[in-house]
Amino acid sequence: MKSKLLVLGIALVMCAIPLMAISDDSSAVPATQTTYAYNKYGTYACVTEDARAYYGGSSGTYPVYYFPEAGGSPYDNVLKFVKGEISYETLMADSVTPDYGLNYYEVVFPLNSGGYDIGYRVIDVSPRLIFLEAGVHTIYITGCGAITKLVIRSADYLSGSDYSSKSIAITDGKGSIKLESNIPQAYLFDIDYSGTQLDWASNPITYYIDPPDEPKIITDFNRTAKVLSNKQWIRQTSEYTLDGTVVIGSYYSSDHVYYFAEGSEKEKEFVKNVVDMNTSDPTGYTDDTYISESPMPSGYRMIDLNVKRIVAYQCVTMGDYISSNLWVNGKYDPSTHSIDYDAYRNGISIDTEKIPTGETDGSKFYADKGFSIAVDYDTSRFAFVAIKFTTTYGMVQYGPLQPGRLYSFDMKNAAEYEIYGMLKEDATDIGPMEVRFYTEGVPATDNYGLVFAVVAVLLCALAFGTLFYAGMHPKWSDEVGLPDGSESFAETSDTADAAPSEEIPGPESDIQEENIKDE
Amino acid sequence: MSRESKAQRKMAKKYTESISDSYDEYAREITDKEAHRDVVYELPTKFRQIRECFMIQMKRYTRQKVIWIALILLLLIPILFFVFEKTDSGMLPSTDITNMYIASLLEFMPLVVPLLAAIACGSMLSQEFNERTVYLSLPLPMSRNEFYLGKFLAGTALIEGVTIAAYGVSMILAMTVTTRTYTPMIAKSMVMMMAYVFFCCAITYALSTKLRRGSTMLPFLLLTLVLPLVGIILTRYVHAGWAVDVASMIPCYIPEIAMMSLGDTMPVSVWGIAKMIGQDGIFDISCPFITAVIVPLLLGLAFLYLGSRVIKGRDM
Repeated sequence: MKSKLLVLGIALVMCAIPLMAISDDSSAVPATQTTYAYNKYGTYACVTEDARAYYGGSSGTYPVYYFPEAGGSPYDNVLKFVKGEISYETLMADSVTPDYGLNYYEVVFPLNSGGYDIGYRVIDVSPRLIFLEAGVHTIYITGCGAITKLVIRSADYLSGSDYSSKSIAITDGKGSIKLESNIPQAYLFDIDYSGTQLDWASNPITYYIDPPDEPKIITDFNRTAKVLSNKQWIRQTSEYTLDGTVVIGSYYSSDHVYYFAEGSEKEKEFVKNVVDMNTSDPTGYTDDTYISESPMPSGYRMIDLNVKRIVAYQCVTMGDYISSNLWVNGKYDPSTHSIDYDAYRNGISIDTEKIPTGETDGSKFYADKGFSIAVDYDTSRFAFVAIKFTTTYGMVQYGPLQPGRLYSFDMKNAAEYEIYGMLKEDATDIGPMEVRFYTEGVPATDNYGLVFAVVAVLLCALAFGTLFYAGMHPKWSDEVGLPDGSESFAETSDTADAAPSEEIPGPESDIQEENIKDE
Repeated sequence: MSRESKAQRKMAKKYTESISDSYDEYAREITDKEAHRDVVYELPTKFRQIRECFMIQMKRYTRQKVIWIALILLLLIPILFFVFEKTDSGMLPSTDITNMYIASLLEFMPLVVPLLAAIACGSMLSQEFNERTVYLSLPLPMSRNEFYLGKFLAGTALIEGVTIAAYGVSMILAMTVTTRTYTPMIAKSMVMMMAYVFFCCAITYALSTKLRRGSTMLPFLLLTLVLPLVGIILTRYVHAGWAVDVASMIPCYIPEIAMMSLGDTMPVSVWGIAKMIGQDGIFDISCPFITAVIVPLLLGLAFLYLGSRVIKGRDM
């Protein structure tokens, strides 16, 4: 018994060791992960090494970090990095809930405009800060344009120790540097802007890391899609009324994204009437509401209005948009104060009912796990490009994709994604246009389905054919190769299923035996 | 002349008259080659031994209920498809994607696969012992290992065939009502399911070596209830990252992963039910494709090896 257990134990260990390495997948939750995010201005947030990052899932839409209670005040650490590194408008640390002996922090990244149960982090392909695992890495830098000097600094951002720096010579917009470290290390790329003005959005600097490591760095756009675009997607309604305190929400969570021309009257009006009122809600129903703003290409501004923890009966979900109810002084009065939040789409928004139909090419793909995507498109024609996907609960969500950024989606279920193009308000051209994008491991729709099905049927026919053959051919054992007429062992086996023969040896058998004896 | 010698002569005369011994004459006329004289015959190769045993078991399956159960379950797929399509009952999804449609047609695979594996492999070895047929096979030029392996391969081939057929039939049906297919995802799902079939058959077969009368219910419950609960309980009470990693690699969750990779959101299984009830308290199974294929194969081989040791050491 001991030997069996020993063999089983060894087998399990042998299986587990390589598999633990194999299972180190990007979609898995790492034990220790250092995470950061950028906005287009290069500001960043970094989380302590002790933090455990978790994206998506039912815990929330946004990255959640767990800090051990021991060793100082983790909350201070969060606030420190939130307030110290990023302005309050662009990053917020939210609720603290003790759980599993850890403190729970929800850190909201405004660039995330995904819906419920969807989390994706934004990593600029023009990062200023890169975390690399221990080892030797070579970083190639392209797209530096007129920049002539790039300084790379290494530092332990947790301890705040001084960092060492190296200069990278840039020639024709390109350069490279070899980095060697025995520990996971953060590197800050400091660009000398003297004499140039870099347009981060349209002309990103790209870093290639060899060997590739987390975070993923785009090497090239490997796919092209003809995407549909339609001016009807752009809502220009400006009629809305607002009176009193507003509570909006859906059964789970609502996440409304509005796009405005930066600095426009519409934007100011929206912020004044909606944003300010939600943040000062006296009813307490909007505890988890947050408003975030993020600049978009071509002078647009994205305002992400998110409300969670709303009791279901207060709200009605109507397709893609949320029909909301008005609360005044804590009392719900649908007859007089019901308000349809769709009316707030006085900026640019997506109307799922008016999505044009037509032929697209390569704009759809399927993913059964986390994946990353980055897009490249003509920002002079598109207002922006959005990715459409369906959540676990069947809600269709859209997320804008800026060029020059790498978006990582961490989905729990397989889903089909589609890329759409959003035209500018003043655009006139309608129809499929080209978007280059990068993603890996997510197949596009194909025409091999029937071939695969036929192959599958043939394969199963093989198994059933063998069964049929075995059942219909009792003499298949002749092929064993034993002498003709002699009794093969297989024939003997075959007769094993039959009842034992009751034939009694006759006198002939006796005589033969006697003859043998005589000889 | 004694009475005995008379009797002997009488018998000899009788036999001489009644027996025409043409065999000896014929043997003298044929060549050495025709008579197989001085020819050394070797034992059949291992492959042939396995093949013979494989075919014997296949033949046995033609007389057993498992093949009928499998065929009925396979037939249910198109029957239910056409019934639900005609009646517009809402039981089928309104998706335009083949993958998601297949996921709904194969909703019960996490339960059906272990059930079929348990029926096919759970008692075939013990049947051989109980019916004493094994004593007719093993004295032949056939090693116990080949006997053991041949029977296992027959059971596995049968269930693998049923699984592939289920995917093929579902795919053909789904493609009649959908327009977009992502074939690599379907292939990945099928390969994962095939690896799971191997694991189910192996663990069931290995268990049967220790059971006197064989069992269908024991391995079925083990695969569909006990192992999933172990993973759920492990992650519920051990709050560490490794617990989720280890639990996700328990092969009992492979069918759920395979179904979810097609687009199924709530698989019909213990984990699916627990997730529906427990929501956040139940861990999210996530396993890379390679792991989902290699782990069940390796564990299946380990169980097969243990089973073969039991058979080798068994006192006949």
